[in-house]
Amino acid sequence: MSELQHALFDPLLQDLSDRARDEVLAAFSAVQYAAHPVAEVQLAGLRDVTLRRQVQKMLKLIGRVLVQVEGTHWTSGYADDIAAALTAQGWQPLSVVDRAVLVLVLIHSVAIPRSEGILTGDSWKSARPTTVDELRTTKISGEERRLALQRLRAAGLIQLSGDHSGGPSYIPGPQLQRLTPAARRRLQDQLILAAAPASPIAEAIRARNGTATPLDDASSSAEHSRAEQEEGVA
Amino acid sequence: MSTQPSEAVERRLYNALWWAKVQSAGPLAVESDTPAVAGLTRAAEPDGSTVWLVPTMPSGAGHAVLDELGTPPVAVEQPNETARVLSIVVACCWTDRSGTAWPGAIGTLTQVRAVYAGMRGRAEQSSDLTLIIGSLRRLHATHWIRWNEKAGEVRLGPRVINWTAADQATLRDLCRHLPDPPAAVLTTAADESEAEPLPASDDGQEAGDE
Repeated sequence: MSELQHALFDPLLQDLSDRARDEVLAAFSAVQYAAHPVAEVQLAGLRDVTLRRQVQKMLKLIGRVLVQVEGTHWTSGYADDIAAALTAQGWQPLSVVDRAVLVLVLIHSVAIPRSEGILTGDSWKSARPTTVDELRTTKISGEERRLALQRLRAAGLIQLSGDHSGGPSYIPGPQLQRLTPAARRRLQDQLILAAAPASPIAEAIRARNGTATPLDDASSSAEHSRAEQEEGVA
Repeated sequence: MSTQPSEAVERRLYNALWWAKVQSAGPLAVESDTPAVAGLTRAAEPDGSTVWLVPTMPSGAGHAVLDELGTPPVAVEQPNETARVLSIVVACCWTDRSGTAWPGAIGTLTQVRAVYAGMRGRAEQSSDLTLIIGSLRRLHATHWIRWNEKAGEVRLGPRVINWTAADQATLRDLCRHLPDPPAAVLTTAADESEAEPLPASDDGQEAGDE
């Protein structure tokens, strides 16, 4: 016990055997710190339902949940109720330029291939690269874009694609796999509202949300990118 | 009976929201009268104006498990240069090594450049400054250091409050192996125009972004 002394987690951990505690902490650390989702088979704390429940409880204390990826892997993401509460408070750690560049990568790497039927499912993982040319807009200077790309790469929100044939290009980063199913759906809705605001599907989304305008956390960047799309410069 | 959520539930939500904030934005500077958040260590600024809330993990939780699994954390660009520059900043800013590293003293870019060249065992080369500045920016963005680019001054960041006695012993030993920094000449109050212009771009690898 003396080695723990953690005000938040101790009440949970102190009831576990030494072995269970080690397994739970290992699984907790793996889903929190690994860049990519972790295979369930690798960790008893993920394989064993009872231990996994303890990992869930630890994550809940810090506003997070377990997210299952492709049925066999796990990572962690923000709990939907916590994300909603922070959004309502106006919490936004990414600058508007960073969000705009991220949205452009998501449009070119995921939304367009998905609309063409090349990508299926609701994942934000994609191998379709977004080129620097596709990121050029008159709204963001080259220097601003370069710095935004650096920050987004450092945050794991985008990554360099392996395809260097036409110069550097980007794909969504591993952090996108941390989105919960509800967050993935929200992001999809926001992109539709941004890219095709007059479409029937956008109307349906607004009706479902009971809103006339997007209120979600991606709204600023979505509007930014919509302006670019309408000008045909993105 | 009150219809309000119980105090325990409110407390849990309060903790979870703060934890979500520090996970999404890194350690946060808040007013010093902000109530404590369970598990977030408070690192007070030297002038007492604000405190940083820094997430702290129980022993047994951390990156070590990733090595065992053979799975990487989110990649740091130029990891070797970045680690080298962090060690130099520690050598320059942790002046009283009998105490804790936080908050430490203010160091200067001149000191960092001198130690960097000494560490390499050669005179400074033109590419060194670009590498140093890129590393300082990365370390600032992740709160390992506080880098004032205009003044060319650097401090240790709030994350170092979590360094354990064992970590600090290792770092003390590391500092002994680094060249001694020259005395710091602070320029915070000096005219900005005197500052040496810094490279506009970061480092070579990131030039690939354009």
